[in-house]
Amino acid sequence: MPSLRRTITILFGFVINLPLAILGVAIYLSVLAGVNENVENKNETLAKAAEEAVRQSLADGALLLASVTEAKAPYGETPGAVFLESALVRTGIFEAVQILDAAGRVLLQLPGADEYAGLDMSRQPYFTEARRSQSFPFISSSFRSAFSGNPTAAIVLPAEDGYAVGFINLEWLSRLIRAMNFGRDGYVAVADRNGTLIAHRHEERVAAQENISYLPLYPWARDQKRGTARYEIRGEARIGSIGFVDEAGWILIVSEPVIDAYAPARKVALIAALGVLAALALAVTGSTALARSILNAFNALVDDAGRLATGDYSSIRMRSPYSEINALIESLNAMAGSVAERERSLVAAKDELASALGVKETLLREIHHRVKNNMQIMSSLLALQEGKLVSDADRAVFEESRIRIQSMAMVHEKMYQSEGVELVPMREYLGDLAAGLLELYPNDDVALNVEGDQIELDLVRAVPCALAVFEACANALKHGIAGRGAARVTIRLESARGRASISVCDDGPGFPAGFDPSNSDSLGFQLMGGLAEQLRGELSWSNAEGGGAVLSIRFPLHGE
Amino acid sequence: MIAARSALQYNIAMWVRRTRHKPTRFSFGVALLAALASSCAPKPLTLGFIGGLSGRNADLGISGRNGALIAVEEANEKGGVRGRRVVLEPIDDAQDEAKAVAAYASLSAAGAYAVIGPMTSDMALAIVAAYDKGPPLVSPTASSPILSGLDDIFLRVNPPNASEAEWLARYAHADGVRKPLVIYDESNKAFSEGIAAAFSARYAELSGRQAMRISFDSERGARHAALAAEARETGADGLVIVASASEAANLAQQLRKAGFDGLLYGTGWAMTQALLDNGGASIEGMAFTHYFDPNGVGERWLRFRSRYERQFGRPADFVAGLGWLAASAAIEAYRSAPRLPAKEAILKRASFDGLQGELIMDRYGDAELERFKIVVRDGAFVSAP
Repeated sequence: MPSLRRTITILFGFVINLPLAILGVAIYLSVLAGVNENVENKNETLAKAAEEAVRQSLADGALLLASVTEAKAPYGETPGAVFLESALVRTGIFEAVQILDAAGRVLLQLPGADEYAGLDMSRQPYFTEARRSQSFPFISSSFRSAFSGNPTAAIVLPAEDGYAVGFINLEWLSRLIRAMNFGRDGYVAVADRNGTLIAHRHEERVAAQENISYLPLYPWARDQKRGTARYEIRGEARIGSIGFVDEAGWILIVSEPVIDAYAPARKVALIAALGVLAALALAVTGSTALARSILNAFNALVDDAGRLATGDYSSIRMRSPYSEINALIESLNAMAGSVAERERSLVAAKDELASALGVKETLLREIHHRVKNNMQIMSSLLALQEGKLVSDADRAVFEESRIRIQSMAMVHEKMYQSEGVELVPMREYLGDLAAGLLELYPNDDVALNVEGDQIELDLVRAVPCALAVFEACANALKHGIAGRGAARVTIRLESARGRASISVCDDGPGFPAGFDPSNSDSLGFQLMGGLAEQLRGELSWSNAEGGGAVLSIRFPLHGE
Repeated sequence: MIAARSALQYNIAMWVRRTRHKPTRFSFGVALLAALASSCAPKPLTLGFIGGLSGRNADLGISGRNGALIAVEEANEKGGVRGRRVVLEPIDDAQDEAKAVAAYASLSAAGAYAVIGPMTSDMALAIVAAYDKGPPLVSPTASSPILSGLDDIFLRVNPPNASEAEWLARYAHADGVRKPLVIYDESNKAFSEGIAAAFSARYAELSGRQAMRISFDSERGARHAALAAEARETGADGLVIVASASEAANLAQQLRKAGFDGLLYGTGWAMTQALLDNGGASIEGMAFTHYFDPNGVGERWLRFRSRYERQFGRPADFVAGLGWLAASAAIEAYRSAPRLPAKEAILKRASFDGLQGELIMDRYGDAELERFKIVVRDGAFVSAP
């Protein structure tokens, strides 16, 4: 059988904790998705900003190179060279500038002045590729300058009868993107179209012309040109958001360790987990307290209900915080009051009934007493009449009638002498009746015993039963012991399965052979037969094995 | 011209106004699964790399590193070596001995299986002098004969330069050079002085004449025009430049500018793409001797060259090929004998498939290969008969 405690616990679990947990997880997932998207959006925005900054700077540099070189030809003149160096190199954008003739020979190189004039740059990739592409401004891949030894990339523009080449100062580019470093380890890097780093917060990696084309990120970035992807470098998982300067084929990577990038997500997860745990703890604590409070009220109620069951109808004084339980207490109190009132009424009715019963018994006793007295008077009258009879036979008839009347009187006497007037205890009654009968047949040697079960009969059955037993006993005394000195008569009472059996046995000669009461004019047998019928029973007679007559009357204990 | 300028300025202005499509994102789920899978992977096999990756002479180091990187990527594309991913940890020695020694210490402490490099003999000598045990150095290009025949941590996939000097002397003598001058860079003295001395000795044997010598130190900033003028004043008719590619290119440019019209010879140190890019027409005809044929048509070399150019945007040179070979040798040695220390594993295997034939190491980890005469023709290295 399920307990109320378990049911309440499960109920709280489902009703409070489960929705709370589901809600917590749902909120966490939703916030997590938003946070992750924000992280990627932030890095992609930074990549876009870096891309625009680099593109604008390249555009500015190209415009500067174009404007200055156009304004200040011919280049061999010292003022022009000074102006070029001031305008282009000392600004920090370019580390050197070359003016080449159409064949790729150096007309002017700054800084360096005359030393480089006339040198052949015709096989430099920036020259051959720019001349082949004829798309200006042309941005070369990075390469190591033979003059400075530094890695660089060239912007090539058409100039008067030749080309103007600006060697980009990659330190300037690194400084430009270094300003965009963020967080603990977030940075922006730029790689050229071959995957060689040209700007990085670690300038030594640019100086070493580190190539990142082996990273899976690189071909993906070159293909996609936008977006965010995870990659691993030197055993560290990072996310890279991509920008692309397509004029130069440069790829910008906003790189951040995954552990840092998604730190907000972890914080959200932690806060969500703590929140859910706290909410669960609160819910469990609250629900336990609530369940305990309800159960305590119920337990107190069970105790009080047990008290009511033992007959203590005093009011339940406990008050619960729950209106329903208080209503139940009120109902129980009302019920207890009602039961107590009913019990009081019952006791009064019982007392009244007992009193009425006592009156009735008194009346009945009085009636029985009067009936008995009347029968005694009738017996006395018969005795007076008997004395006037001369015939012995007549006197015998009178005597039998008188004995029968006394016998009936004795029944009534027993009735009013008994404790209750409804039921007659037949064993005692028949014992008294037998004693009375012996007085009618005075003989000291006759032993009359009553044995067997106690049988109680109402007055309707007791009188015919007593008269039948009386006739049987009288018959035994009259015929069973006649002519003998000592005799014994036994009355045996038995009850089983709703039927009573009363047998009268003597130790006399028994019924004569061929005895048939229907052929006899015995009034006693006729009476006994009639009384048996009145009792809805039957009369039987027989001789006992050891000798003696047995008369039995069997009848139902209760009327139908 | 004005119209062209306007179009140019329009193009520049357009840079800042263009908008692009929003591309799709990587699947983070796939990346996460990959990350989870990788978290269960065995520890990677680390190969260190030491080379000059910055400064004027960095082309050697960068080419070697890029070649080694391709070898590592190829191994990883095949699922790694014995289930282990291979990683390359490059460190720049800036052609500084102290930095090279510190780089080796760092890689050794990090548990590198082997160290590819260094790229120059000076750096190799510094490390060998400081350490007699630890992960082996497998150098792609350090070729000083001083490092030969020693049971030390130094192994290499290129032959010692003694034969290089000998062959250059033969070429000069055969070309009719009567007053040879060797200009060598002392920043890699172990290599350059050896070459200069060996060249001089062999040339003297062949012709009975001594070769002149001029040295400079590129680390202190070479003044190429002055150097060219000095060389011009010697009256030399043949010049052997023992320097890096950019130094050799600059020097050649200044020599031609100064009117030098004699023959130029170079060493493997300068035989990189940087020489061709920076040298212009002044290096046309410059001769080298090398065991690496730039015109090789073997499938492995062509495949490597194609991949290198696609990945790094420039032609592959022999240094890149040797960088690949050194890294491949270390990887293959581990594949053959994973329980042995790297040096024993490499020497036990001894034979490795290179991009242009088989490399066989002797018991000291030195290699010898057949040499070709290489000349610069039309801006490219070509093998000469």
